Amino acid sequence: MFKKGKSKFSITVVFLMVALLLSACTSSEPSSQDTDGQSADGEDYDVEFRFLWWGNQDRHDRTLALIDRYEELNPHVKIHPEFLGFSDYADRLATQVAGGNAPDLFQMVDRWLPMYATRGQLADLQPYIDSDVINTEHINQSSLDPGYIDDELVGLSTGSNTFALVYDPDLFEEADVPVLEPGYTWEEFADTARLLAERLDMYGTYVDVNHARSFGHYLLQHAQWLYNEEGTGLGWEDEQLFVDFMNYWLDLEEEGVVPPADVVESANTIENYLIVNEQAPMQIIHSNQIVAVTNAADREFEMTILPSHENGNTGAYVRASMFFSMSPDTEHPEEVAKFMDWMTNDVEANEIIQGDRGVPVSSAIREHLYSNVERTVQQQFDYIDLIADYAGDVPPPPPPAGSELDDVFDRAFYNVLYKAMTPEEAVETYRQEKIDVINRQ
Amino acid sequence: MENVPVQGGKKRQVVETTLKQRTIRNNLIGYAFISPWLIGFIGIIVGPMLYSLYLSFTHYDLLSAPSWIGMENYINIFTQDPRFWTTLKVTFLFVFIAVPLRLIFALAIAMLMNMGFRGAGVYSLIYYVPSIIGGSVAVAVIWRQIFGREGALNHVLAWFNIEGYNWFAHPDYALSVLILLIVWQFGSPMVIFLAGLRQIPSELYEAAAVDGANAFHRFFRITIPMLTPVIFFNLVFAVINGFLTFTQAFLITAGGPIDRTLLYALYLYQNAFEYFRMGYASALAWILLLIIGILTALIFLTSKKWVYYESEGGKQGAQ
Repeated sequence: MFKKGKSKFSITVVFLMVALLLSACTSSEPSSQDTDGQSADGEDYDVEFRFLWWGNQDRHDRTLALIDRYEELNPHVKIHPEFLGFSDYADRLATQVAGGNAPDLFQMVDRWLPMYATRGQLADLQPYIDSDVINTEHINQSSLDPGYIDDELVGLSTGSNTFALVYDPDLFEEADVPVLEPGYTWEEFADTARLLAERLDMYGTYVDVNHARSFGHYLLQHAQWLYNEEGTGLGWEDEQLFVDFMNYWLDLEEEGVVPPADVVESANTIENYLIVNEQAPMQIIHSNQIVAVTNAADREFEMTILPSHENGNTGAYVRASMFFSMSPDTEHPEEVAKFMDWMTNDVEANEIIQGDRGVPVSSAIREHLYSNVERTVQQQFDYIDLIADYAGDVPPPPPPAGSELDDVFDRAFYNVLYKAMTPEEAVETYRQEKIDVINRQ
Repeated sequence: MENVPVQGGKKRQVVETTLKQRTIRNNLIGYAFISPWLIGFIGIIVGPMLYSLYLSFTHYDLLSAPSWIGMENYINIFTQDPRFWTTLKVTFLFVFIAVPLRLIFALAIAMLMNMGFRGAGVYSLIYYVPSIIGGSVAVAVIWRQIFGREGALNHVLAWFNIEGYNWFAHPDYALSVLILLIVWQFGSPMVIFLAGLRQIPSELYEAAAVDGANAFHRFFRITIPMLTPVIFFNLVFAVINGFLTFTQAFLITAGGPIDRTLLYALYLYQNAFEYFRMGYASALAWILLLIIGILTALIFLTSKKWVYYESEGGKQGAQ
C-alpha cells in the first residue's frame, strides 16, 4: 500500500514539474517582445497596436522617441514596438503574417509590396486619405504613386529616394579632373574614371552590381524595363543591351579602372565602400545613403545624377525610400492611420525623424526642416530637387518574386565579372532563370 | 489502473498480476520522467516533420494558405532547378573533403594528447574550445576577418611580398576556407578519439614491442583496428553534421561567390525564408533526409567489413 502511494505521488510530482516547465517556457515569451522596458500589465489602454520596423541603432532610437511622444499626446494609445536589422526582417515579417500574428503597422520595401499585396495581406489606405484621416494636402501625387498595387494604396511612402552618383570633390581636385555635370554620357563617365584611376593611382569607380539597379536604369534609357507591366515576364527583348552593359564594366575591369570581382564583393557594405576608404573617388548609391557614407568616411561628398544615354535620356526616377503598410486584420485601422498621418505631416514628429526614412513627402515638412537639419540631410533634399528636373515615370513594380529576381541578376553579373561566363552565356542563363523563377512563383 | 482488485484466484496468478502491474507502474513512472523530452520530441520534431512532409506536396508561400500540387515541387527540383545540382555538387565536395580531414586531424591530435606529456589536459581543453564556440556567430565573423582582403592572413603574406585575395570572395578558394574552418573545429571527435585510445590495453603494445613491431606497424595493426568502433561513430556523426552545415556558410559567404559555397542547408533556407517558397524548401528538406539516410545506411552496411568489436571477436573465439 505504501509503495503504491509513493509511486502515485512521484507521478504527480513529475507531471507537476512538467506542467511548471511548460508554463514557464510559454509565459516568458510575450514579455520579451515588449522592448521599450515598460510593461503594459495592469494598465488599460483603449487602443493598443504593434509597430514593426527594421533599421540601425540610430533609427531605432528615433522611432522609440517618436512613439513615446505620440503616446504622450494620445494617452489612450499604447504602441508596442518591435524592431530588428534588415537581414532578419523579411523572414520575421513573413512568419508573423503566416502565423496570423501580423503587426498592425510595419515597414515595407517596394520589391515586397506586390508579393504581400496580391495575397491580401496589406490594407488599402485610400479610404483614409479620402476621409482625410491621412492628410495629403502637401503631398504630391507622384510621391504616393509607388504605393499603389492594383489600384489600392497598400504602402504609404515614408520619403523619397533615388539613385545618385556620390563623388569625392577633393580627389577630383587633386587629380585635376572636372566634376561630372548632369547630362554626361556613359562614355564620359568611363573616361573620367580612367583619368581619375590613372592620376590618383586608385580605382576610378566601383562596379554597381546590386539588385539590377544600374542595369534597370540603363534599360530605362533605352525605353525598356526589367519586367513587363503586369510583372508576368521580362520587359526587355534585346539581349544585346545586357551584353553591352556587361561588356562596358568588363572592359573597365580589364583596364584596372574598376576593381576585380573579389574586391567588388568584399566592398558591399557601407563601411567597406571604396569611396569611404578612399579607394575610389566615385560610386553609385541610394541618395539617402549619403548620410551613412559621410559618417563612415568622416569626409564630405557631393552627389550628381547617373550617366545618361547619348540621346539625353537619363532613365532617372524617384522611388519611395520605404513604405508604411497596415495589416488588414488590425483592430484599430483608424488609429493606425492617424499615427501614420502624424509621422507624415507633423512638424514635431519629423524633427525627431530628421529625414531618416527618406526625404519627407510633404512639401510643408521639407520646407520647415531644410533650415534645421544637418548638411548631409540637406544634400538629400537638394538632390531630390535636382533630380526632379530629370526624372521620368516610375517603372512598374517587380513581380512578386522581386527579391529572388534581384539575386538572379547579381549572380549573372558576378559570373561575368569572375569570368566564369561570357556576357553572351550569362544573358542566356539570366533570361532562362528569370523566366523559371517567375513561372514558379 | 492501480486499483485492480487482486483478491481471489491462484497464488501464481496473483504474483503474475502484481508483477504485470508493477511493470506497468514502473513504465508509467519512466514515461513520466521522460515526458518533457517526449513532449518536446513529438511537438518539436515529429509534428513539424509530418507537417513539412505535407507541405512538400503543396505550393506554400507563407503568406497565403498552402495549396496541394502533388509531386510538382519534386519534379521541379530535379528538372527545372540548375541550382539544386550546383548545391548538391558543392555539398558533396564539402562533405567528402572536410569530413576525412577533420577526422584525421582529430585523431592525430588525440594521439599527441595521449602521449601523456605534462599539461596535456590543458592542451586538449584549448583544442576543444573551437568546437564549443565553433558554430557561433562570433567565430564566423572572426574567420571572415582573418581571410578578408584586409585580413590577418594577407598581412602575413605581405611580409613575403605575396599579394593575397579576399579569400572568401574568390571562386577558387572560398570553399577551401570554409572547409578549413570545419577542420579546425576538430575538438569533439578528438575528445572521443582520446577516450577510445585510452581504452586500448597497453599489453597489446607491449607485446607488439617485444615482437619488434615499429611505430608504423603498431599504428596500423593495433591502434586503428582497436579504434574502428570509435572511428565509425565519429564518421557517422561527421557526415550527418557535414550535410547540415549552415551557420558558417550563411554568415561568411552567404553561398557566394557565384554559388561556390552554396551548401544544401543554405539553399534550403534561402528558398524557405528569402524566396518564400516553403513548400519547395520542404521538398528539398526531404530529399536531404533521404540522401543522409542512404549515406548513413551505406556506412552502417560497410561497417561490418571494417569495424572490429572486441566482444564479437570474443564470442566468435568461444564458439
